[in-house]
Amino acid sequence: MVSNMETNPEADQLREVNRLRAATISESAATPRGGFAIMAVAIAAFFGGYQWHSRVYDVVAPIVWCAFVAGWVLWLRHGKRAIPGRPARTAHEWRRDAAVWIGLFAAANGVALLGSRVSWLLAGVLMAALSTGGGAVAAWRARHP
Amino acid sequence: MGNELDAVIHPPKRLGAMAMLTAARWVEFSFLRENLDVTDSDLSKQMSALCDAGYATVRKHGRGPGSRTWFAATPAGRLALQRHVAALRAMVEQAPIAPD
Repeated sequence: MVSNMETNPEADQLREVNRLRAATISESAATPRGGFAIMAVAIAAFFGGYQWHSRVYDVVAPIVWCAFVAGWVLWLRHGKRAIPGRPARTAHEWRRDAAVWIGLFAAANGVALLGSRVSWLLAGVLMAALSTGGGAVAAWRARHP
Repeated sequence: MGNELDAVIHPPKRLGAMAMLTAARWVEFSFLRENLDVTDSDLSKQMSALCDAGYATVRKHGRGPGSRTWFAATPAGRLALQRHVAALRAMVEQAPIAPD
């Protein structure tokens, strides 16, 4: 037995609609090759730099860091050929997402506090792992809405 | 809401373009062209028809060879696609089942 979905032209059109939507969502969630790796190295370097205990670094690093992040975001955005839509979220989903961000913020501060007691470089590596792990999960979720 | 096919997005290329536009906020011209497997002029013609119908809107960034053209679905376009897809689904469900 052959089902309707396998035989008629309307079903073919629906399949094509789904294929094109999936391709677009995938493109909008994609990051340029090396995007995460560059950020991971930059995070490790940024925190690792505090190892020097330099007053100049303390002043210059946050400024350079903000400029780097702005450039990185622009680069990611420019590399895409489909800009993702803003998903419609329920109140429950807003609360859940806010809880995730607060949790990540707390975890990052904990890592920085504890890791820096051992070594700022260790703190940097742990922060890089945390942020790239979180970024990878967020990208996966965007590709599989 | 009646389940009727929309004449503007019934042609497969326009239906495909609307499917892509409604899956994102903005979609770039070259990405549409590659996925729909059409020429520049054909895509321009199809997108003009969608813009004229009020189903899509266009935005251009830059000038010269590096310029990029972006399209987005309007609320009317999103609604039209939703209705069109509902009509297609109804037709699929109502179609007689083919024998073995």
